[in-house]
Amino acid sequence: MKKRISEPVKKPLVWIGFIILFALINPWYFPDGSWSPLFFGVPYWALIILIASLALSIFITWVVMTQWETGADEDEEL
Amino acid sequence: MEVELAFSGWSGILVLMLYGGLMLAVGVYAFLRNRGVRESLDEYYLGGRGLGVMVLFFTFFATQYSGNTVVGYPPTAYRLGYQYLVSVPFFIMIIMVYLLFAPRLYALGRRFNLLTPVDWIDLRFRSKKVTVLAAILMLYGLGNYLLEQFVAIGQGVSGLTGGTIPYQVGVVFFIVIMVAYSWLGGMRSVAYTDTIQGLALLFGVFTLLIGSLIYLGGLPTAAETMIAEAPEKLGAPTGGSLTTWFCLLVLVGIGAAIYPHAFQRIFAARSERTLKRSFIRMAYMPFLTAGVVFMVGIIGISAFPDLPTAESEQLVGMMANALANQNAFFYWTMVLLFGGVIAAIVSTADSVLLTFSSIVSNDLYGRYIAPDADESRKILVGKLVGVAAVVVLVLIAWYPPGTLYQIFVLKFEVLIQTAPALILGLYWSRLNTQAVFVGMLAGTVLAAAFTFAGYRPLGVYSGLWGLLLNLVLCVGGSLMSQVTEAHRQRAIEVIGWQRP
Repeated sequence: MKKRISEPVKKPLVWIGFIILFALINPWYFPDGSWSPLFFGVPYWALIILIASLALSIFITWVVMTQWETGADEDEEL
Repeated sequence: MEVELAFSGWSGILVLMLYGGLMLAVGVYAFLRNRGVRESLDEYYLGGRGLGVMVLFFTFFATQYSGNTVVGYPPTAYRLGYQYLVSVPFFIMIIMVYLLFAPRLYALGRRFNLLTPVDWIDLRFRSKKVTVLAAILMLYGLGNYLLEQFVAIGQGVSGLTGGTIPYQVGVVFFIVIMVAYSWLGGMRSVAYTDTIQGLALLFGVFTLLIGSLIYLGGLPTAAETMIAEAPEKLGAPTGGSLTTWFCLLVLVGIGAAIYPHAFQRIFAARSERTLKRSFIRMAYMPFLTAGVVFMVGIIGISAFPDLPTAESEQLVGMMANALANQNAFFYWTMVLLFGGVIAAIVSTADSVLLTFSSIVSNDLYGRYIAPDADESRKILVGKLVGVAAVVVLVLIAWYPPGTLYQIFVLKFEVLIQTAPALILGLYWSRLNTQAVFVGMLAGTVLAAAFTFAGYRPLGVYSGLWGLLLNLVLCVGGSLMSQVTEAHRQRAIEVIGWQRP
């Protein structure tokens, strides 16, 4: 195999990122039942969850673009 | 999903006929462009492994988001309030879980010409027991999934046409169309129609949101209603709701990523680059779909306050009615929305049916019954068994058996039990075949028993308890038993990166 193979599942950084972001998209770190302040009618904690979710999407994009390279297609052509 | 739309009778029928005609046309187009589609399993079931970014993306999209996302999620958001915001991150979880196995699976799919998830299990374990058990679990889960879609099509059609078209006629009409275009063009038809159906759905949910914001009040109004009447709907989740949140993230993340029809789509990508780009797009779709329908449900809290549970199920219908009464633009967009909802259900059903047939064609008939049959014959058998299953499922939908109905409810719970074999098998050469079999079987039995008994220890879902037992047996059994050197070597040959 000529090309260096890279799989997300084998990268510690990917796992650390996923674990941290997974922890952040679970709303365990807010005071029970709190909702104030509201931003345009949305409770602050819901906004934070949405921001964390967006961070997960962005992290996924980074992982796909930089950590995933198996050369599967070149393989076929050989 | 019982939504009665008073606003729409004949216009609903018109839109449905147009949808039906369009889908058939797509089937004919796919057939004419690829005449060889009935001769090759690869062509028929995977679109010749040539789906491009756009089509691949929409076919993933259509498998994940069904009509239920539009009609079923807003009522849940209405009842639970912001606690149901979990519906946004759980769709992102699916892509995260994909990243843990799709890169290697795609590469192996290319190298070994894998066609179905069961094909992969057979390659990895070379065990008839494991292959057949996995095939049965998948066919069973897919069958129940299909049944649910048929019930939803019927209710959607009779709702959209204000009862002008009876439930049964709606189901038969769409099933005939669905089977016709699937038979004509196989995966290509399914993926092309998924694209049209996906666009219709996106258009529909956005007009629903815009209309709701204009005419039914925005999020601040909804928040005032909640502060006054139900502050718990605004508050951060506590105790049991936190557990539910966590369970949904895990269950949906793993479950939806390894749905056989979702899993199989990885093999259909034209190239690794295509697959990557589709995944990146999918990572942002939850905000545009689940997020939008969530907002619609929240707006409903102030627009239609105090609905009891049964009535709240009709929320989207009520909102669409209210909007349709405003002006002609919203009248027609709401008709299109419901057409889009039905299209979305059909597009989920067709994917499920195609995967169902592929497992029959390739893994049961082609592997064990008639390995020497030519591919066109295998395809034909898959098609016919698929249709037979559809007929049986429609009969079950119309005449639900009184006592055994629960066995038709299991889907996720059963399908998720194939995850250890599918995913662990990709990475762990020591994974023991016997342990995989025992784990899969025991996990299924436990999940089914807990579901039937309505038992949910610690508030954790039955499917997850089954998966936990399954994993413990799988991993524990493999660690405690010896794998013969020959077995291990073979596993390394399959999943290692060496050339065969």
